[in-house]
Amino acid sequence: MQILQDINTRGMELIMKKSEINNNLTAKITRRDFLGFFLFGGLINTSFKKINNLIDERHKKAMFWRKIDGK
Amino acid sequence: MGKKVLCELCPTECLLDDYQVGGCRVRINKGGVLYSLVYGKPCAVAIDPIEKKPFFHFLPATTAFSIATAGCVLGCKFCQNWQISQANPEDTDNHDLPPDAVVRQAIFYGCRTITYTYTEPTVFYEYMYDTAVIAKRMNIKNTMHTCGYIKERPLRELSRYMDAADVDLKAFTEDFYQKICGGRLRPVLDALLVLKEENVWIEITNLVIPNLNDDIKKIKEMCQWIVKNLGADVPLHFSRFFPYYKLKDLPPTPIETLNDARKAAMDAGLRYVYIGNIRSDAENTYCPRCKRLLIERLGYYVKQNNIIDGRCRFCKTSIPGVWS
Repeated sequence: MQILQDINTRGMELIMKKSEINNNLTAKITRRDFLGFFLFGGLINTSFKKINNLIDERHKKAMFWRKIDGK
Repeated sequence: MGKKVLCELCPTECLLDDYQVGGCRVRINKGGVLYSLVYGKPCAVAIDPIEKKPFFHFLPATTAFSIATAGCVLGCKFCQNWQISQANPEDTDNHDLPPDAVVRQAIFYGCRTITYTYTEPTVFYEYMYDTAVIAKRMNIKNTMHTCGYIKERPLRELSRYMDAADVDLKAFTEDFYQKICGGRLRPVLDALLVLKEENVWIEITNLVIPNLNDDIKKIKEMCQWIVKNLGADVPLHFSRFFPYYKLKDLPPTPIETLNDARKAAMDAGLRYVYIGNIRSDAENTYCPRCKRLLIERLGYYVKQNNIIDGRCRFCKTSIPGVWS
């Protein structure tokens, strides 16, 4: 009888733990959080575009020019 | 050690300090090396009838795969494409389209020609050149619509792969070129002579703008120069101006002015003179000998074509152009 009670108690503890985990995973996202993620994503996107534009390897060396030696 | 570079592509010959961009907005000096900012990055890609370029004596009723990047060597106050020609390349929506992809797409869409147009193709010279080399290998023709503001050496090099050029001869005075376009007339005339020597098929476009370049005497002088230096068989297209960009205060070109210009051109000896941007018989090609209708056009659409193997179907006169 005691053993059965112990098993029952243990099972209840496990169910409660699982319920806590689920609650953490399904915590509601607020509008502020969503907007924040959206803006953050946009910022990352724009930054990478700017960085890409600065990378020399993407620019082709031009034809028909010459260097001018000077001080 | 100095890091200045001198760009020798167009007659402007920009002298650039380190990290300075040229007047065309698309060439930059970085550490004493000049780079193109627009290689493989067209902001305009489209398929157009070849007649739109306008080419009336070059593969009629075919399509041209047309590309352009941002930038220009001039700053014409009447520019029809100013949103991209006067823009910086970082401000335009650019495609990623390397030269081999341009040719592949032209073949995929059944285009007989690749045309470098909309903005001034001189500014994307390296992109145009590499694309033209591949296109020629794949039996695709290369054409360009240019203001002719390019130096002799790059033009001769490009002419090895260029099949036809439509050159904007905007006026026949240095004053117009300086005040309205920010350039010079003489280099454009020199470019025409080079194209003629290199056997590139030439057609010329002149946008007739009221009060600025519509003097009939000057138009006649221009036509006489064309006849003398390029030949009477060079097609000349007079285009009607509409108020746009920085010239919104001017009226559209009167039809009579265009008709007068066409008459002056034909009196000067030019055989193929067309009027663009209006619907009239002046869009059609007629045989210079028997006067029969050879190519009937309605806008960019070819309704009938009576040129067989480069000759008038009726009297067998040879008609200049590239017909196949």
